[in-house]
Amino acid sequence: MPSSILPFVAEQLLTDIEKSYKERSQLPDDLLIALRSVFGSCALQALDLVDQRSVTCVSSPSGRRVFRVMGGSGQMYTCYTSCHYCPCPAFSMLVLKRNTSLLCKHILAACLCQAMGLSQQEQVSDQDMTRILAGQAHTDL
Amino acid sequence: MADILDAVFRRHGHPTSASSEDKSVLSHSTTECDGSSVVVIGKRGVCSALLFLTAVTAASELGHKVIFYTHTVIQKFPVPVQESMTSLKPDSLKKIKFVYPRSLEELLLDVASLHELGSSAAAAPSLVLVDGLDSYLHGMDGVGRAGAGGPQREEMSATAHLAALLIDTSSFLTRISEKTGDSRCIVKGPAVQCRIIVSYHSDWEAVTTDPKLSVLDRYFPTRCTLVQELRSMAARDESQHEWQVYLSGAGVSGGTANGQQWHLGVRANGAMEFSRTSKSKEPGDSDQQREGV
Amino acid sequence: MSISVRRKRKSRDLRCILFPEDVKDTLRITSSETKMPVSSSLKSWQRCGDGFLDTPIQKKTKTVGQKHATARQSLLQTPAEYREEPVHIAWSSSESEPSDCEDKSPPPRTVVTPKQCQSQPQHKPRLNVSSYLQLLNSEADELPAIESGSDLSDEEDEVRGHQEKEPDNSGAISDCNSPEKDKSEEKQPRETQIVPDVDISDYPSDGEGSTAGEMASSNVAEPDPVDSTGRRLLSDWVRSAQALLQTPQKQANCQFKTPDDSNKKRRKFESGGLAERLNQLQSRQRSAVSFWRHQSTADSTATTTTTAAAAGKLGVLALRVLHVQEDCGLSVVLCQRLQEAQNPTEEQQNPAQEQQNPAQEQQDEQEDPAQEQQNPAQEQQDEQEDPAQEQQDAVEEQEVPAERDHCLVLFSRETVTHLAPSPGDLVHVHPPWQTLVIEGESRSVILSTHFSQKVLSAGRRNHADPSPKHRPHALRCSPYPLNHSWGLWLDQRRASPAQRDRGGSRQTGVCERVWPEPRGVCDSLLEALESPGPAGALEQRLQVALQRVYCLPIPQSSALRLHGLRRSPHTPSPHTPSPHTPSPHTPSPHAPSPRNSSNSPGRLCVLVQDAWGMFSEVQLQALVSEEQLQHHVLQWEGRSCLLQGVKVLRRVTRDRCAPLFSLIDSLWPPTLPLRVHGDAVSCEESRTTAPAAPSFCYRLSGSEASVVVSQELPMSPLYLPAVMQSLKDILQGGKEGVRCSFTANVVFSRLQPSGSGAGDAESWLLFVTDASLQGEEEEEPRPGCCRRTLPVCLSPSHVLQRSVRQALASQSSSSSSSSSSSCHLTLKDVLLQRGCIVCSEQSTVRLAPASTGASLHPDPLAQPVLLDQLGPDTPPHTLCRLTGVVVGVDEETAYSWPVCSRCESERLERAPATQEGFFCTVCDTEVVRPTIKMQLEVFLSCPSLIDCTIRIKLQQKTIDSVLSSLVSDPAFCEVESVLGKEVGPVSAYVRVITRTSGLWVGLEEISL
Repeated sequence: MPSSILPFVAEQLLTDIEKSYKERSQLPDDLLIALRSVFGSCALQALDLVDQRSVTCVSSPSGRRVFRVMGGSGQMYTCYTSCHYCPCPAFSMLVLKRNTSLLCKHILAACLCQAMGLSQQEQVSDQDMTRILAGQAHTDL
Repeated sequence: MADILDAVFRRHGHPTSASSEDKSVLSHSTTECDGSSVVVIGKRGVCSALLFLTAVTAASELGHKVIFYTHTVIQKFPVPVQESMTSLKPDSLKKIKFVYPRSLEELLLDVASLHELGSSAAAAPSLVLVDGLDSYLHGMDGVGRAGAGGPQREEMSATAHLAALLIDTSSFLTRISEKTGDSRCIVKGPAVQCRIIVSYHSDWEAVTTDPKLSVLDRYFPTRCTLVQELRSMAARDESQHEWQVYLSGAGVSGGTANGQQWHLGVRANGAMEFSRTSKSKEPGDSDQQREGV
Repeated sequence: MSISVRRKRKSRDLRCILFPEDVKDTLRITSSETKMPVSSSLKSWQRCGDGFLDTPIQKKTKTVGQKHATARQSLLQTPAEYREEPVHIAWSSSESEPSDCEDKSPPPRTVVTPKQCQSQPQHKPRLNVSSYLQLLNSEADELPAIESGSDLSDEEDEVRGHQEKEPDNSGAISDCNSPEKDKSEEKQPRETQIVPDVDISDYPSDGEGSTAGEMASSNVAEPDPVDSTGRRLLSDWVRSAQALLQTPQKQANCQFKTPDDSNKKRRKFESGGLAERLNQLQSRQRSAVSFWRHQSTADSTATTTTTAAAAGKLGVLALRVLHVQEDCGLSVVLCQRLQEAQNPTEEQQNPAQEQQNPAQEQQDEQEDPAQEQQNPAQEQQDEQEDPAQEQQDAVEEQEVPAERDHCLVLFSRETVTHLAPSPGDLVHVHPPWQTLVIEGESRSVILSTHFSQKVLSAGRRNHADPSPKHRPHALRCSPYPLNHSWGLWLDQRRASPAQRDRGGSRQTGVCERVWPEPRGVCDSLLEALESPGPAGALEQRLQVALQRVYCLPIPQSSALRLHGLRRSPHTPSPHTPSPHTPSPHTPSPHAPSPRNSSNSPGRLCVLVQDAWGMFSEVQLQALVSEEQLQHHVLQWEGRSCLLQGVKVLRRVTRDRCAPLFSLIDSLWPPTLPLRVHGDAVSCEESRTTAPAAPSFCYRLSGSEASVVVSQELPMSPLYLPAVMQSLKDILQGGKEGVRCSFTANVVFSRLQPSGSGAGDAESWLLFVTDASLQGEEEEEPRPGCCRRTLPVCLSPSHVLQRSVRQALASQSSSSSSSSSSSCHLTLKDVLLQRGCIVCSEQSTVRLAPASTGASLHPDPLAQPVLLDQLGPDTPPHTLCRLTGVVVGVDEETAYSWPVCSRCESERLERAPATQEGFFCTVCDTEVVRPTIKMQLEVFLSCPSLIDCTIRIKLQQKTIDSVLSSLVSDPAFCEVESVLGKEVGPVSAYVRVITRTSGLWVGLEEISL
């Protein structure tokens, strides 16, 4: 089975986005369209999340960082920084199970916010971070 | 991480093989396997044994600080290890920390809390072993992922969560140790990488159908499959088992065969002995099944 | 919710949103008249319009919840305009610009509104419920909402809670010159639209279907043809409804932001945000793709040369498919980029090559398994050379590609469904497309390849459209490893050795070179208007269908006239022309003197329509000659064009510029279903009812180079040519204010004196007839049937072409002669008003081409033209025929004068030599016995008209016949001698009819 090249395409695209945003503080239309091409329908939703600044980079004194993305319905999703995972059902369905999508919109939103520097920052304690990482932070930490 | 496994295999190789040159052999692990995470698949007993052996070897000889998560409390060292332990330094075992989480949540919390140790570089482990992932992932209910898609999706999501957490933790720990600049082990590689080996107990027939394994494959690029040789199961008595060990995946560049193959012999006394098999042998069915996944 | 009626999901949701507790409570409070329970109000709604005045508010709200199946269906096909275009297109709310709006500009309280509604009981309560729904949702869709169509088919959608945003103008069309009340009114509807926006049905998860997206806009009900009488009422009604919905809206929003209802919400994107931009781009792209596909399927019936020609155009990628694999929902196709288009026609020309092709195709497919195995190796190694490829290339000599470069083309799922690429196929990717260069990877990646089509060669014609079954099954890529992250790196990059260095450049495709602007072609005027360039000019090029070409008068001051803009075809020349030559001739006394302010043919003007149904009138350069106009008409009309470099002049609405909108109405409904926002499927469905014609349009101004005809399409599919009708059909079937077109013969023409102070504007009154009117042989007046001739008024606002004017003048000047210089005219897009045809600005009057051989109907002027008899119901300003007996003479107006017997000029002077003769200064001859011309007006008594005073101004011939019996000098005859003479039958023009005391008819005899 041939290996996928889309991750490289996506990574390149995100790099371009980062560069473009750094230079001009905005994204040109062609990058938006390219996002749509590569990521499909979650691009639009991810951009919506970006617009609402729903991505928070949570860090703890130990240096551990994690992303928390506020979904549309108010639910928080925790995404890791060094690998792709999101607890949302779309991720497990589309990425893990069916492999019809590269990412879910939360991860993509986190990537975009990180690339464009639009993520909010939050500090939590180490113990809180542990709970967030373990996915057991039910309260709004 | 396949390089450690490779090192383990070589370390515990057949006496007739060049085990005397273990040091030099051990120091070079980048020839064929990289430091990516490995999932070991096989029957429960041999998997645990292999993992334990790896833990011990890594702790004692490779200079790793090891954390070992397993379900059942290890009362005593598995038999196969005892034989090898003669060459191990006793105090190296102190470098292994055993943790016994009883459920998936606990395991998650434990792994997640590793970062709290990270502040002190000395405590940061460089090898994380999780034995028996399947036992944690089975019967997970109320993990909080109820939703559409059925239990299978929940299982996959939970598997992914655990795997992702492990990966994320390892990269974090790698970063920490890089920052501290502490050379943790004798292996002076370009990066002191925190490695993860997990074991997933399953029969090799079920390998292709288990969705959790497909998820694990996405997070752990290297797979080490232990397949018991039929002739050892049928003809031979229980004294010695023969296993085929296949290393496959993205972390292994094995040339055309896309995998390495070792032969594991478990002696009557439980000692494990690895010998590399010739490449002409076809990879087992498990590899091809994996391709078809 | 206390509403207990169980309807379908969407209606329930809509109702839920529209009727939160608060709204209903306020409704109940304010509607004091009858407090009907919900169900009964719903039932009463069934009787559309009844009881409207009783409970206006309740009805409105309930009607919104009601759904027609047809309405839904109709809107399934036409949500486009309701999504993207503001309310004004959909409905006539823009009409309700009058001052009422300003009074209500602060949103009125709900208490006030019902009184306002009820204060107009005199209006006929035509409840145009559907229009209200339409209004709501059209306004609703003014702001972009989540594109549910394609999104849902891909993944489960998490619909957000509704957010209440302060409406701003960013999402709306910004009118250039529109009065302020437009804006205020737009604000109003925008505020209210949030509510129906939110209604949409549950978003299905797991790709349940894209119907939800259609349902999203489907609660706009069937738009009835707007009744003009009911319009004003409706607009008031709408305003009050808007006001109603405004107040409770805020409360309604709050309660929707609960996580439980998240699935039921549909929110707008943040205005100005990235998502909104992408949404717009996406929708534009989608509509462009569907339109383009429609065009290319139309093209596919044409010869392959069109597609082949397209391939050679700049920007079109010609690719040969080598390998197809499926990867994360997209299709990644390894293609070979061909420098020269692989034309199927070339293959036709080379039969040898054609035979090679099947061999090559087989070769391609045989090589695929080899390539499959090699692909992983290839991708690891950045190397695309393989022996199989080389061998293939050696065989395909006719390709001669300048460079063999492979590229990876990403096709979306939808594109792949249409395209069905299989190895060996030739694919053309039309711009815009994008290239992504991954550093470290030699093959470039081509993205957003929506405009792709497969080029079928002759050899492949036998294949049916490749169905997915026959397509070689695309390989699925193994899922990519998740243990790495791309963008989430924090102070570090991936340390994996497999990583390649990133940082490659990104460039858009060749399309950037093709057009100077960074943007491409836009197919929606409103979209283009949203982002105007400098000085109000549109940045983007607009793809439009050119519906009509006509000529607008250029208002000129006298100064301009003096400066030679005046052409001189009508300067008097000293020779007498023959009536048949079209050369300039001396205007005779009876012919009108051209006093037109501008003799230039006017300003070229085109009426264009974009794919969304939006019209606009583009005023171009001033024409130099009439031939230019004809040339443009031939070249442009009906074509698909690109507008560039146009500026927005103003935005006109229906009530301000009714003639233009009558033309637009004649072009409505459009031939194609208009752009459907996001639902390509519903484009194909037939619409049961058409939406209302747009009520506003834009006036743009451009230059000569503004219209670029697209080379590919001969005719735009939107083009609605003017339908030529017979006059009878027009008169019998034509509605008031409707545009029609016909060809007719001019029977009589008359220059109307210009109105007081109207300057030099001339207006002609023509009487035309054609075979349909002349066809009947009966002599008696036929009650209820059309008259024999139809008056045509060429208003001053219509630019009369020189040729037509000449023809008319020559016809009228040759009235004395018997030759039939019949003026055969083709009138296009003329207005029918009160039984009279009016040629206004947008009309075109042209000399009809000379009889096309054996014409379809014989030239009616071959026979004497039949006219109606003068009767009691003869309207003024018509032609008639009458016979009568002289009963009186108007002595005051009778006079005679001499004219030269030779040249009939009136410039006679007393000959100095003799006392009897005259000297004609024109022809320099002595006139011994000048011809005496007389003017005589007599009173007739007609058998057909009793108790009527008929006064007719006779022509010379008739006068002669009447006085012929007199022996004495006609100039000094007695009145009594004329009495009793029979006159007629003569043709006459009814000048005036007064009915003050008895019928008084003033006629003027004419000669046809």
